[in-house]
Amino acid sequence: MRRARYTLLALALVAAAYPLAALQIPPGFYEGFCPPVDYKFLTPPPQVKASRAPGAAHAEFKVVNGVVQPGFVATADDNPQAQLSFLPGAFSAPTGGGPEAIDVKPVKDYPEAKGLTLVTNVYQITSSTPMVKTSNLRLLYSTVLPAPSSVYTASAGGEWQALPSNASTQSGCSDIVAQITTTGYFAAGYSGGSTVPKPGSTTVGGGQALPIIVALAILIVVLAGLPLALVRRRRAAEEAGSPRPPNSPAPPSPPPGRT
Amino acid sequence: MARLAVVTVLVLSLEWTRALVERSTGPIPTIAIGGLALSLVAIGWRPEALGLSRTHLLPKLLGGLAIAAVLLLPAAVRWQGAPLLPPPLAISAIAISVGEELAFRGALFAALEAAFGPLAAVLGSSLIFAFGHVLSHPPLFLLAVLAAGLVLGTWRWAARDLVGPIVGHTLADLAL
Repeated sequence: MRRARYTLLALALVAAAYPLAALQIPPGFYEGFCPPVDYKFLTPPPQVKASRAPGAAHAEFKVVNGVVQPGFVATADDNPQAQLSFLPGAFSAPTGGGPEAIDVKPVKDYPEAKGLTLVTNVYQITSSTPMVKTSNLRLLYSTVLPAPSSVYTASAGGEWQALPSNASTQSGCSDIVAQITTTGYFAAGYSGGSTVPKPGSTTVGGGQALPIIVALAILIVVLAGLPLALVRRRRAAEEAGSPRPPNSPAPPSPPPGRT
Repeated sequence: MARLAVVTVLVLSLEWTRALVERSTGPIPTIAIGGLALSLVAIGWRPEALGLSRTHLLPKLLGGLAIAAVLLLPAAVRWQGAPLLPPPLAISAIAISVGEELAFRGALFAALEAAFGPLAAVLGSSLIFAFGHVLSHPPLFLLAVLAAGLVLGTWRWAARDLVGPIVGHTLADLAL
């Protein structure tokens, strides 16, 4: 009986300790399918108490036979929050034979995003020559804000426009990828004040499904566990109260004493 | 002791190799293969030693559900919606959950318990579980991994059961 109490106490303690530890940092528990997003905001939203400064990136790419070599530019974060990757010749070759210079940096000054809710930093991508081929931009987003439906882009002084975007359903990560054809300002978000992403753009795991699943799991455990506990207790009481069956072995006799 | 050392080195090597390979090749099929490789660590152990007896399956399954509820509680509190796991990754999630449980709470737990007793088995398997995740998780997340290991390990000790941790771990992985 005492062991059972200690066991229950130990289980209760670790069950209480786990949420405390996991709530220190989202998502708490995950398998490492992709690194968890500890998103660094340039301007943290109210629900984020503290945020480290996001990284920027600068890279130069060789030009061989008049073609800018392929590559990628990723911001200097543990898990790059913005990553531009491009194919050979994605940028027109710089005159004078120098390398192609590309910068990706989070900025506070950008065209006003009317009717949009941006959930990531706004990244400004600049290059020494214009982009002439489609390139891929991958933006990470925070798990503490609603998932974005699209990547949006704007040129200096221009309006924001949605780009065809795909959430990384292949990896289950909190990132969104868009194909871009120009440099400029980029951010992920959704239109209006709605927190529901556009249908088909991002597959959302049932919105509020997880809390419901957890609540149901707790309910099932309680509902099924109570009768099981009662049955076990009743059985134990019956065994304690019932006389010994006739065919059961006799209790061990005390060792014979010396004569 | 020798068996414990071999199991520890094996599970850590497999976890770290998986994390390193995953960086270059992506999560699929690295996670699935890693899970299968971890499952092989349990070969040679009696099912009872691993906590895999067939008795009282219903309470064990309920225990797994309870473990999943505990593991998912923090995520549920701040749930904002996330992409669903696509089928290939869901299969990988199942493989790695089962593999990790067989390796950490199965073989490693049994080896630790045989060498040092149940308390060392719970604490040791949890610490090594967290240590196994150093390459796949940023340092700040390791406390949560350690705490998850303690939940799974304590159940393993309390119920002499690995079915619950397998079910709980798998459900948590699939939901996140």
